[in-house]
Amino acid sequence: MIDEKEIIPRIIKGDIKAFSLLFDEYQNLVFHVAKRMIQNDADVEDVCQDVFIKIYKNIGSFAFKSKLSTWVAQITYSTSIDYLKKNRRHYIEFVSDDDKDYQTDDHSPADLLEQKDLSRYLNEIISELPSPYRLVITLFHLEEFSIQEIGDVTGMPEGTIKNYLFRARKLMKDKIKLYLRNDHAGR
Amino acid sequence: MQDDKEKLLQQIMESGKPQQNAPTITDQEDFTAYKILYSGLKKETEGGFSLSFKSKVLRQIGLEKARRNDIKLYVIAGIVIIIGLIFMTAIVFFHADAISKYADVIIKIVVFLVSALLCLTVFHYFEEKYLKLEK
Repeated sequence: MIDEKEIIPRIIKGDIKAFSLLFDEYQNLVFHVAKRMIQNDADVEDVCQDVFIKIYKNIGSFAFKSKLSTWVAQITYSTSIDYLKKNRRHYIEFVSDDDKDYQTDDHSPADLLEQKDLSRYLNEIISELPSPYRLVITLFHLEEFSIQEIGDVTGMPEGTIKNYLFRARKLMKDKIKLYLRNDHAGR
Repeated sequence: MQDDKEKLLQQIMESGKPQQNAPTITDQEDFTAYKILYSGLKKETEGGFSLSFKSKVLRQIGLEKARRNDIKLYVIAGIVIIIGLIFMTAIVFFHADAISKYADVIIKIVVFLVSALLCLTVFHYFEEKYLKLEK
């Protein structure tokens, strides 16, 4: 765990070693958020590189009003959104109330069952969720952000975040249930 | 109704004590699926940055730092040159007679300073372009 109040002034003065420490601390957060939003491996590193350069350039504007991790996630989120818009990739900003629209592709669990790899299957179903679902799920469960912090990062209202979390989990749970049924049937 | 049941299950999972609540759950299948889901969501995604990624980022940061230093240098040089020009103009303006015999030298100095300023600006412009291309 780095001491933000000690390290930020050093980065502002141009200390590359201090920035290297910040990189080590937040590389996973940046990777997870960008990866879940962009998905295409080839593009993720480009976006993440932009994110770290933006962090370096703008660290002077960080006012310690939030956690540094929230600020870093915010930059990653906005950079990823800009990238998706610029490249006109598929990005669903608003999710319809009807999750049936977003049922994951049934390239069937049975196919994936052959791999006998539940965690890979889980990654597969996460990747098929709508982008906002993926993002809130990643920030909440993997990065352990609070609902309020997710709101700070994405600008989404609290109710929307809770709703996305609930629906994303339910969608994934249904898929896992199906996976387990097929798994048992296959034995 | 179905959503209420789902919400309850999710709340139990979030409480972090699913074992204590398990016996009260009627739908064991949903419960098991949620248990797998909640533990799976805490696991990191596959993959990560390439080995050279950190050094690539730090190199870019180094270039950015050098660019900032250069800008500072250009600004200082620009200010010095402008002050010099103002100073010389004032001397020429107020002591025109005394200075007239040194006019050639003064003009040469002024031309040199203006050229230097111009060169710095052009150099900086192309350096910026090069850095953008390198990105």
